[in-house]
Amino acid sequence: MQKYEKLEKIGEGTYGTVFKAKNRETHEIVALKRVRLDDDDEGVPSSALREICLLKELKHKNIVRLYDVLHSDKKLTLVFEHCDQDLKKYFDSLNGDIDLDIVKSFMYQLLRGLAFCHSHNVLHRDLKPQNLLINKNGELKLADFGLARAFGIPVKCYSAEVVTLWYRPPDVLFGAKLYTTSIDMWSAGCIFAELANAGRPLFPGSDVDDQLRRIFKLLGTPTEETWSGMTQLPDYKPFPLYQPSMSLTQVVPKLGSRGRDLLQRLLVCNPMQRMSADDAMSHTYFNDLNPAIKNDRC
Amino acid sequence: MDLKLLCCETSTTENRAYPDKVLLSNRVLDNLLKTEEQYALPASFLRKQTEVTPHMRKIVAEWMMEVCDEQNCQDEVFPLAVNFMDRFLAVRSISKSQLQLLGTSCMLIASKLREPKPLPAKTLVFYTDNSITIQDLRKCELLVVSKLKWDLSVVTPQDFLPHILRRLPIESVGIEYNMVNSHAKTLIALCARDFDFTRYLPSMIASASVASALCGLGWTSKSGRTLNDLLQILHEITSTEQDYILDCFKQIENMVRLSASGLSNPQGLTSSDIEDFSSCSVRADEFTPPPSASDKLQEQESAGTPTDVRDIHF
Repeated sequence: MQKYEKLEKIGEGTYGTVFKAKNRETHEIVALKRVRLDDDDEGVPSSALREICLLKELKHKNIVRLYDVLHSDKKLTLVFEHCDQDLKKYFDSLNGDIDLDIVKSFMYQLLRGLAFCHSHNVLHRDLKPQNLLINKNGELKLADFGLARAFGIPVKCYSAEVVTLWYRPPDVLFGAKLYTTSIDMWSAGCIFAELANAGRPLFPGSDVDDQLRRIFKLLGTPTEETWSGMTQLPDYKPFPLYQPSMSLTQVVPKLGSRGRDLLQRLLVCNPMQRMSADDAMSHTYFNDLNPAIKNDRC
Repeated sequence: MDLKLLCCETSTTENRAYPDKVLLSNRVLDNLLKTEEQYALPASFLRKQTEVTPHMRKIVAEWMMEVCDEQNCQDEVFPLAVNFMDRFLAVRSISKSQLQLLGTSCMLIASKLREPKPLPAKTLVFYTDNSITIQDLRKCELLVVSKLKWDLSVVTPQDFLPHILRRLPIESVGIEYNMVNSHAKTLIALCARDFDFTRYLPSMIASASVASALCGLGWTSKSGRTLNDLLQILHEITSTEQDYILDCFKQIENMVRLSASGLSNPQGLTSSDIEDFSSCSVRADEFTPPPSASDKLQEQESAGTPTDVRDIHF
């Protein structure tokens, strides 16, 4: 690893340690993800294999760039563009207050990154603040594609329940293995609310039941009428028929009416009726988005 | 409280999602068409090889198809693995004794990309009659991915199927969607096995397989339209020139006829040797043989090691 000088450990990814490092020649700062190839395992971990080949394909301003892959018999090193921090850490630094223009900008960039993934047949499947990187220029990038999946259609059962609990949609919580782009859109909705509340998670459930209860208490328990097929899901169980207890005004007090409308269209229990990333980008909430961000073509 | 990551994976059930509008949009199809060219094989890609011949490649491909079949792999795993193998052969010369190891590594990689639960290395080694070791496999895996520059997000003909099928009049003329789908998939697998089809792009193979499947199911008589009409629609969907689809179609029809008559595919037969297909022949509904059935027609009965390519020393 002569080309890069390791500076510090940044964290642990899905399948390896991440370091900040400097290119000795260009002095460019990069992030190195180290994957050990142990003697007794199955060779290159499938999560690493998927992440590498997907990211090679997905070159977009709102998706973290993979520059290079170095390998020896014993380890793989993925060289990524370096971002200053992830959204989780950014939240921690906010002290409960966030500029609404930043909320709008981050949300738009998240949707734009997602729309790009979805148009390339890729589901992220594990969206959460820790997987969204941001840099000093206020750019947001989707990262950690270790659980992502490129696939043919119809979408098959890949692996059930891969999304971190808090950002998991009700269909997946009920055991649906029918993954479509809607799974990412639910997570995007949860993150939108969290952004608007400067880092307070929307549905911080402690287990699957608690997670569903929290969702239904806010949005109202879906019925077979509002969501046909729900009761047929593998892990379906009836919940009390909660009526929506709070209005979104109480949930995201700082968000204006357009923002609340967008949130409401993303947080739809029935996956068929959840808004797509493309449609969400055209929502009136973004009408007054800073044109520099909107036109920032990639 | 910690964030939880549960994984309660079941690999046996294969659920199909409801059609996802986003994933069936024109934009996704356009991207597939754009991407497939990046992974196309160079013409005469075996030129680099001194020992490996198209015939050996076919034997190994047939063996790979049987392994994938016996292991109930997802449909794309086999064509994907063959694409990796062919692209590797285009850039690196190997001895014939290494060909099976190469094919095995390619299946390992392909299954990691497309299976919820990849094929275990041990299982793959077992299928080679233990003629390779897990260490060989792991080394070869790294060699393959690095020679292919990690460009592994290959578009397969299967990826085009739902896009093509949903844009064609099928159920409206009284043909069952699932039937066409499964026939086309079988034809696609048979094409991946066959060296003669390596010159076609995945979208062409998908289009021609669909055309052949539909003809076999009596599309022309049921819809009252001609083969040319069908090719025209396919052309509009994939922007592929009709001539290419027709060439590929003829070759598929020929392949099917040969395997049905019990002949193994003779060498050197090209589409020009085949008489003109002015209209497509109607085949019995069950005609298109599933991969396993057609393999019974070939010399090999089980997924044992092909004798030509045994004794791997890597």
